[in-house]
Amino acid sequence: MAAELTAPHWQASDGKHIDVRDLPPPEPMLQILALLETVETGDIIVHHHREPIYLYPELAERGWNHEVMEDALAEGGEFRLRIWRGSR
Amino acid sequence: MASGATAFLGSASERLLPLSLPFRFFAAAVVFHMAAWVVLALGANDLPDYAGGGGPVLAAIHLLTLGVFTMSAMGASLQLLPVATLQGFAAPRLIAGIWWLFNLGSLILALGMYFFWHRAMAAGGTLAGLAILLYLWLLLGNLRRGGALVAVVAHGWLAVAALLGLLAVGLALIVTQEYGIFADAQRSAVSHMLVAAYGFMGLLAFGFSYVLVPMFALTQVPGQKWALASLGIGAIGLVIGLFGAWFGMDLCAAIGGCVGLLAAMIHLGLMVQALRERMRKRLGPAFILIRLAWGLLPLSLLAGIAWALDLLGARGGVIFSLSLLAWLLTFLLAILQRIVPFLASMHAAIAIKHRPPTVTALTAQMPLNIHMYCHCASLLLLGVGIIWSQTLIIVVAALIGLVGAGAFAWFFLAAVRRYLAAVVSA
Repeated sequence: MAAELTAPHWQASDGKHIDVRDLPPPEPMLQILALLETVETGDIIVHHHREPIYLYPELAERGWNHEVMEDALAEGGEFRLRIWRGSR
Repeated sequence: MASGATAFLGSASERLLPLSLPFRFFAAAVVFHMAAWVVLALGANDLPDYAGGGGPVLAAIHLLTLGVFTMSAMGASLQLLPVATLQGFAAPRLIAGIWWLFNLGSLILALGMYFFWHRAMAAGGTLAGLAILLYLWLLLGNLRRGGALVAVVAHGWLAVAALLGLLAVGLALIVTQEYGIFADAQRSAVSHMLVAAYGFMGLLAFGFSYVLVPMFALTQVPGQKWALASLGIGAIGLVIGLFGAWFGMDLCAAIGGCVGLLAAMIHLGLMVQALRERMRKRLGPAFILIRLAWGLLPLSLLAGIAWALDLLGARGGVIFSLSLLAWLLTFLLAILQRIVPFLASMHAAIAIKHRPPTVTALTAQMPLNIHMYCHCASLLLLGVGIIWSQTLIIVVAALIGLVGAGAFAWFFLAAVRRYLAAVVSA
């Protein structure tokens, strides 16, 4: 059964964004995985309050890669993660 | 929304211990698991009619409860609780010190129990107790700062209270061997066992289930109201049961067991509901053992009630103790076989960044299958051996358990080796 995608998400020029900042664990992981099920290609940018470390094994299992967006860290107050499927 | 959820706790390094720290607790648990089966085989003759006191049976029980249960709970909670409460964890050197102290204390205590050396028991118990107190200090620091998962934190608080109680009674029981503090050491020992199993370990198992089961099955966290109701009812049941056990009021102990059973059924209902709503289709073999443990939990309470009402005959106490240990050991090994590759994959993903090893790639399935069959067979044969008072069957059960524990060690070493190979090659 897929989780219902309720977290704010939108399409921008650099990929699909999802904001899980106000969700308690493990809801951010469920919402991100629910979004992944609707996306075939392209980048997904996650907006979070912290590094979603428990998400990484799930991404690896599904063949998705991740990269911490250091620029966003420098801005403070938000953690951004870019994820994409396959090699680049 | 809990305030903890809005706190910014940026990078993984703020919330993650080096992998070597939780893994050294797990490695020690793997070794103590094998040792427990060996010692049980050596004490097979005493097991069916065991009624407390020093010797191999007591040593085997504590190799399991301290060496496997508490050791794994320490490793898992020190790694997982900061994530659950959204707090950082510090003091890696203190955690390493706790590991040394607790290993040494547990080993000396088990040796003292095996050979009935009072001073070794006292020294080992003191060292292990000191390690537990230091661990509690870390745990309290994390719980005090609150967190988003109210039910998990509440279970943690009560587990801490139970741990303090069982530590005090445990140390007093050691002193009683020489100076006779308790008028009835057997009743005190039963109380110690109840607090250890349903208080400390049980509450940690319940509390962490509200994080781990949703995380591994990819499902919603069960409703906090019901989780807290289960906790409250369970705590009341434990207090009533303890009162009955301590003062030798059998009906009171049985009523406590019935109240505890209600709490357990609420908890299990929440777990079943969570699994029904899961995203992950294939749960894997770990959940076979988790479901078995969920079956053993009410069975242990029923055995306890039957024992209190004198319905199980002379071996009621041993049958109850076996069902308790079977529940906790099955649950813990199921969780460990899921946590070990998960944590390794997570750390590899942070270290490697690109194409880290998956949980599947880090899991050696064959040893886990061997372990599962051996684990189930050994528990079944132990039950048969105790009921029929057959030493040979108990020895065979312990040896099968040892093969299973060896297979589990093989799985653990394979996960470490695969993790290191992936990190080094990257």
